[in-house]
Amino acid sequence: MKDASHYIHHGLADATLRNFQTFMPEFTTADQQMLLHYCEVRKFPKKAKVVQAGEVDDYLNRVLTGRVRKYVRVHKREQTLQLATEGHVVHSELSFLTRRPSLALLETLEPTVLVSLRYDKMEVALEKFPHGERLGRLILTAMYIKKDERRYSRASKSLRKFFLDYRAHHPHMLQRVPQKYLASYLNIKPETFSRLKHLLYRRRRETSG
Amino acid sequence: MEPCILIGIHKGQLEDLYHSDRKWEKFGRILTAHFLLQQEWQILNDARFSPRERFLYFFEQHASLLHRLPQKYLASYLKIKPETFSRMKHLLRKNHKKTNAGT
Repeated sequence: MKDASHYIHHGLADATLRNFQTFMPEFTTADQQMLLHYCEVRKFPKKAKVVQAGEVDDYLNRVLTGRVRKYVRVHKREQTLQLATEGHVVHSELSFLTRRPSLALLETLEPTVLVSLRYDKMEVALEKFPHGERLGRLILTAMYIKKDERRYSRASKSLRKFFLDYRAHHPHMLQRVPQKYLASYLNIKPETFSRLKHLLYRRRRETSG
Repeated sequence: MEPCILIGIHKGQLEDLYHSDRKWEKFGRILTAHFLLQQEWQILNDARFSPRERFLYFFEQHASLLHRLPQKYLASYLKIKPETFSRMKHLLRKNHKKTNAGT
């Protein structure tokens, strides 16, 4: 299998480097090439299961292109936990880190390309890579902060403000992700979601008029 | 809420410690993974449990907190309305009896 370093000329390198440098300034192009040797590129069609419930998730993924939905089945309902898009990290954290069967499922919403680091290769990279442990810690910290910010944001804002802020930060999600998944992810009832969307159109009309 | 004794480390000193040795970097990575796992459990349990299940799950693990903390904080933490929380307290008593009867 080709490792991800073959994709260095496909825009992957620049984006990845910028991403790493935001939390580790001394991260170099050479470091990055070395790290990409440990990674692989995985391609999925639309509606493919990246991780099934009950299966151990072996990969830490970063979305290169496409959309991935992470969710959990609750009785007959599906609760969306994450909607990942270009540049986002997505996997089943609990399963990956504890090596136990996953409760969460990962499914593509569009044809999707992931840059993935397999668990056993990550362990080698942590050992061999010059700042492996440090990079690992910083990636985990960044993931923690993102989730914490989202939970804090939901708890501290009105529903209306939360929705408008989400829309402002993720302008494409409303077009590219089915409404029911967005509503579930944002923990908003589908009826309320429609009403909030209506609010956006009214605002737009008012501004243009 | 009570007089407390905390053990803490200053952010700068923690960073120094991490930088001092690869072993400490590893410690930091594992510690951070531990925090991420706890957070992920919370998110997952919030998503898949009903308020009743959240209530039972929480007090199964932290039985003593029911008497040590004001109810309004517990209810807010578990995202349960205060009235509902009060009504749920009997669940714990019943459970207690059931366990005793079983032994």
